[in-house]
Amino acid sequence: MASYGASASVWLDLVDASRFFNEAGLELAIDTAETSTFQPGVSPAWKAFIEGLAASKVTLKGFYDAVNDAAMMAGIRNGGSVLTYGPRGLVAVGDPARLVAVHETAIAESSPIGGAVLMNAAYQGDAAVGIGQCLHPVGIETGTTTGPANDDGAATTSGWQAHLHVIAVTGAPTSWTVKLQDSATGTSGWADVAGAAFGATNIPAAQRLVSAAGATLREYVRYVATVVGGTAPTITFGLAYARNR
Amino acid sequence: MAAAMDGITAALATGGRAESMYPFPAEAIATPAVVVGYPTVIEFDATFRRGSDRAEFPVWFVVGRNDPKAARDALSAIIAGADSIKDLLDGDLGGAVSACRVTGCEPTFIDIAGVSYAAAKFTLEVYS
Repeated sequence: MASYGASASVWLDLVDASRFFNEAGLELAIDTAETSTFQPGVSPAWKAFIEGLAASKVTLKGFYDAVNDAAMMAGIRNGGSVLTYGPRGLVAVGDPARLVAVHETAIAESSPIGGAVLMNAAYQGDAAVGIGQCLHPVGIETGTTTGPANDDGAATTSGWQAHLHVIAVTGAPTSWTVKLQDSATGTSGWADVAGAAFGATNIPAAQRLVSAAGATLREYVRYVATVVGGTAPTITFGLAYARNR
Repeated sequence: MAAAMDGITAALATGGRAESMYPFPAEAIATPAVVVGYPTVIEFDATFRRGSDRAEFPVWFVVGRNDPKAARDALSAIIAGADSIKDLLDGDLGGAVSACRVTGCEPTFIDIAGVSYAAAKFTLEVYS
């Protein structure tokens, strides 16, 4: 079923940048090397190829705003950024998410006299793109919280990756810790996923976790956000994860 | 829409204008007056997730036409004078919108409650 792009989401490091952009794109490309040979044994003959390296690029276009300007300018030679893209929106648990570790490779501003100030940026992916799902849309939590279960249909043993975008923290807590748990049934047997606890933070922060190769992730996944200290502490964050392919 | 229309007259009042302010299509006015009409264009989804919409509002500066030269001089001042409508409205309406710009002006005549007035019709482009 078709979807309008107007609901798309872009989380860039510490910012939910969705509301500043009106065009976003993710491009995946896989190199191929031809391996055609004489007398291929079929007629008519077909060329043969083997798959090579894969790469990804992300492009964003939108309007200048102090918030997205700061986020995009901060991405210049910063060692890499955490970018999560929802082609049709990251508004509910299970919404499709693309997890990309990126380097900002181009940024452009333009000021047409008869139009709004524009900003464009391009990013080069620096690792396997996670084709996953939203586990917590950008929103606020006011205390230790356990999220709903997300059913992926089956367990996997191909590893995983996860992105956490902490956009705001209030109430001066000692720390917020967000971690992933998995379960075989979705109703019981929940356990912490090895290596899936993001670093504790009490300030906005973006983090990316990548499992060991071949790590197991059971069928159902949820998050637990735990707060320590503070007065009426809150956290505003977005969270997505992907099973490696 | 209401916030933007209120913001337009508020921005003009802040600028020291002494005219009667009508942040809606008034059925009767006392001149000189500023009248804000309903948007002629509303475009949703200028950015993702309803981050911004675009609209164009007509803003009329209305004066009586009993004295044609006085009416002309009043319109001239509001179009290009030190306290012109464009100078006062270009910006963000005191934070009521993300950005706005007067994109055009048309001196014209307008009938309100059966009375003909001289007016300058400004077009204000607004991004929410």
